[in-house]
Amino acid sequence: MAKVDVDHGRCISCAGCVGVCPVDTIQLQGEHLVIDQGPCINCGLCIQFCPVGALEQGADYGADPERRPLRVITV
Amino acid sequence: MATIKGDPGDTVTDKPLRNLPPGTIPRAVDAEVDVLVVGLGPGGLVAARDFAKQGFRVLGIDRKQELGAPKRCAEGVSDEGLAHCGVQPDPAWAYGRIEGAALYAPSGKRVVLQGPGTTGWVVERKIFEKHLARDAILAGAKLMPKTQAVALLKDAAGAVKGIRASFMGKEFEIRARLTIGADGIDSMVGKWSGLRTLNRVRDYHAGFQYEMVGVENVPEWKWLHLYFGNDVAPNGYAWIFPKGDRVANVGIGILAKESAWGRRAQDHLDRWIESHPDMFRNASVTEINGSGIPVSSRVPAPVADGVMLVGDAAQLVNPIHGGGIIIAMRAAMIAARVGGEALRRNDASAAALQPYVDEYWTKDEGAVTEKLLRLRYFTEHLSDKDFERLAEILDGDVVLELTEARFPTFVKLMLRHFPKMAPLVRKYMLAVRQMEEERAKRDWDEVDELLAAAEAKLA
Repeated sequence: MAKVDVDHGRCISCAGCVGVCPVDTIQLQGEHLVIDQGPCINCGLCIQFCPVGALEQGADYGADPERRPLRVITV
Repeated sequence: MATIKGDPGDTVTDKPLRNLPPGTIPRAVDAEVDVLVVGLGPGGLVAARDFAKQGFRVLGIDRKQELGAPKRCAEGVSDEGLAHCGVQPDPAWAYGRIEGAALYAPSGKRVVLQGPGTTGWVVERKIFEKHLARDAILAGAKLMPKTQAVALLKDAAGAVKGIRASFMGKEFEIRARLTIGADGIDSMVGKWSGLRTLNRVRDYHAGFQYEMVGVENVPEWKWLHLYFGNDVAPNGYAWIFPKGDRVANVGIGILAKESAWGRRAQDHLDRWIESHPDMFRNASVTEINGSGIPVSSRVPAPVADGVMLVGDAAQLVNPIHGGGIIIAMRAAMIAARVGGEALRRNDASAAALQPYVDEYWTKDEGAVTEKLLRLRYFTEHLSDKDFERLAEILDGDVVLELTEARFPTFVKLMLRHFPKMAPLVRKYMLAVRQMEEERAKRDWDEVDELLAAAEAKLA
């Protein structure tokens, strides 16, 4: 189950999201954004940062009330 | 399906080079060098150049197959910075001549900056980088595009000893006495080294930009144009950087903390462009660019055993205007000098590399950017109305002093015109003062008096 979905059609490969990920789960490989869903803590910072809105919370993930986004780092 | 003669295993991309030094053309073959540069933007290329000039074996890698593109940048560089870094402007990449800048308040009221510190060029990055790469290669460095770092090599004590890389799907090792992380905002070298390179959304701008052709009615083609206002760009600004005849980089940076659905960098820029049909009616787009812009002034520590960070990887960007090309190049020159000395003593420990930090932060741009960070926090408290009033009282010279982090004139001016802002100024002053205790004592005493008078008037 993906915590963060990448819309590759929208992504402009700027890698800005990589710079805000506190647990280093995102990488740009060539021009392709890759997210390692395992260590992702679902903090939502990459989703908030994205200048074009290419990242979204995984469709099935947010629905489960037990797994509400965990906003650990806001400042 | 057509059959092709031969065996896929005969492909040469992972075979050693014959008759040529390693890195002459990229191959996925283990290598050993003195200095490995990861990331070949302006910072990495200048580091490669300056290490090679000292006679070290230098290998630079970049994950992209073409250096310089796609850019994450508005492409402005100053004459002063280019001269400092030994780069001669070349018409092949120096496209838009700049002789000043105009800052616009939301109402359109503007402050114009002109003078020796405001001249420079808007460059074509993909050509600029090729020229920097030429300088590096002719100095003796070898470069490998389309080569991605996949992991760090460390010795038993945890010191960085190079990287594991991938070229055309084949992995190999590059061992190095010193590794330079010039791999941008998404620096993996920094993260893997355990350096705290995380960008907080509080100190990080989301950038979005179009390169446009057919832009018209720009008030002055020899100026950079910066548009402020909380509707235009929350805690940031929109810009037009002219790049030759009716060509311009039109972009925006907003504080990442303010980004939201419908209010992302792209949303803000699109709306701003729509609201200026006079300039953009006959224009169209040739490039779409985006970026994170680290405006923290720096990472806590840019060196560890066997590794140094330069440029965006170390968050070396001007916190006020977000420019980072020259800062990256200046830092790379210091890194190459300090790193070179360390290698000659055969000691690439963090302690041996520490003079890079000391020199950059006390004598070079670092000293200024650290103070500009305070100014950034201050401007984030300003409302659109405050911007308007500021535009009324500020002239270009005061703003220029500000960009050089010479604050007292600014603060005095503020207090004379806005006693109401005294509490804010007090807060701001405390922050700056901590950093400036020894300096400019007399100036600050005068500010104190004025501040007390203004506060008394309020009470």
